[in-house]
Amino acid sequence: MSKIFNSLLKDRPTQLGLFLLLILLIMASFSGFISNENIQNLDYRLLPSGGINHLLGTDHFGRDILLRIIVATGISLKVGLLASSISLLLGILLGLIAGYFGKWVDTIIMRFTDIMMAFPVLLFLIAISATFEPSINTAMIAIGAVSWPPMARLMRSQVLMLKSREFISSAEALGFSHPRILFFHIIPNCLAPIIVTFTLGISGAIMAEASLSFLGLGVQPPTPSLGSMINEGKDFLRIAPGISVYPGVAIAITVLAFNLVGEGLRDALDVKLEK
Amino acid sequence: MIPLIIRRILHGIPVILGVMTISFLLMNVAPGDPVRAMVGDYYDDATIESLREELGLNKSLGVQYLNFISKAFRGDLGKSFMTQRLVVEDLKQKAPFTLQLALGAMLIAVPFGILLGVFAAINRGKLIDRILIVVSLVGISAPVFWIALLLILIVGINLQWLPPTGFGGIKFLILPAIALGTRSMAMLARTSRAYMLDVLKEDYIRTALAKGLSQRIILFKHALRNVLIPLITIVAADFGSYLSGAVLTESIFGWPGVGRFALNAILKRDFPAIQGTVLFMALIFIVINIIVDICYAWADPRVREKLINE
Repeated sequence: MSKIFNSLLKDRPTQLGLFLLLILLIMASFSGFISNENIQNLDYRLLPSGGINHLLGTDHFGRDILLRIIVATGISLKVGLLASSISLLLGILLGLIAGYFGKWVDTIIMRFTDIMMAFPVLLFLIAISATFEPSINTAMIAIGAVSWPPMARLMRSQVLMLKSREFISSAEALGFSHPRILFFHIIPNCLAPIIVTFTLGISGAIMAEASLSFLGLGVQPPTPSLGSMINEGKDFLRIAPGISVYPGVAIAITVLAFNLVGEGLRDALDVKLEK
Repeated sequence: MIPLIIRRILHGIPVILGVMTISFLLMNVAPGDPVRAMVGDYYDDATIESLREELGLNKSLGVQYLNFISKAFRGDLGKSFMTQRLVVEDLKQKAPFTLQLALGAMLIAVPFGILLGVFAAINRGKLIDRILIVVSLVGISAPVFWIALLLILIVGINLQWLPPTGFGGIKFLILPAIALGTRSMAMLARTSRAYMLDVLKEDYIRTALAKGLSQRIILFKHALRNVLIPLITIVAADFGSYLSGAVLTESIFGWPGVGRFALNAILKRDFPAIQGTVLFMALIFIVINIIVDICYAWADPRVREKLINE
């Protein structure tokens, strides 16, 4: 364990990723102190960045861009974490069942996985969000509900690999129940790829939420979201590009942080993921 | 080879059926009346009832489903509420534009991505390698719509080199193609760098070095070839992501392709158009995957063996 931590902390890119993650978490914890008044201050004065009171300037409603980014980043993190958790649960469950029970159960689940993979993801997300009321929760659940197939495939291949191992056969010979074997013998042995897929999944989910919000189908105003901030700034690109540009930087940094940490974990845990 | 191709195609049929079923169900749990969405609020109940009958929407869900499937297999995806034209006709008209955009993106992503990746690999550990690693990571982490806006801002508005948005000649294609291709260029650069580093460690490269072959021959003849084959899958998988990316890119740049059509259809609850585009995109995805598998099997005997025995 300490060896893993050492190699994780020695890796330069991972250090950067962890550092960025730390900053993001600090920012997110501050977002609780930012009152609605601060970010909903509507005096319609568009200010350039660099001012003392408004470091990144204000948008066309006179709202402070930096404060809105801080709040929106917190929301992004929350959506990313929860959506990735939903897909983690779905993927693990379906993959476990498919791999462990095999036969027709496997065929059905894997066919379903193929079908889900064939859908154009963003289009599917847009359709779900437009069908049901667009909101943070809809976006979160929709993202979780469409992004589980890679996790399911991963779990299935892990289970197939483990199933032939002696400790599983002996657990079966001892008459352990299926759930006991699955949850206490198989899952603990594939934690490494699960952690890596989960971490990389967060960055995917954050990106998906940003895309949805950019199209107006994710987080709804007046709640700030990085994607919708970029969209709102679109019309002011000529006079105040900062309104769009800064939130984009925030998305890139957030996604980058999770990518770096995810890849660092992958190398440290020596996980080989299927492409 | 032939049985493999047939098996791949047979495998695709249930997937397509599944996609159709899910998109049909999704449209039917959607709140709101598609007929009302189609005609607006200005019609009386009798007109709406007769329209419902005309469209077969008064029948039971099962009958509607079978109708939808059997019509779709005959190439009839119904009529779009927005355009009042057959969805198939709309798709036929818009698909070439999306194809143009996707090919443009590919033309940027594939050569540059592989070149940068290989270049980074042979300069492993040097400053340029590190810079390329960071740049490609940023390329992967930045959202496509943001890159699109930056391109519009910098190249279109500030430098005025290219028209920021709109549609016309090749001039208008360049920015959307770059926006759409950036992410996959960054991915390809990273993957080809990793593959190249793996290949350079192989025995046959050491043998070639020991034989005294020139660096260039080893690089291009021995190493690059072995890097290119696994890259086929990545390039093809990216093509699928172009379809999703096209939704955003086309909307931003005002490009008249399938992506923008799909987005408008969803926002206007144009059910036949939504089902049609989803089906169309899924079909392309499946066909590409079949082609990739075949190319892969053709290029690599080991894969052929594995796929046949599967």
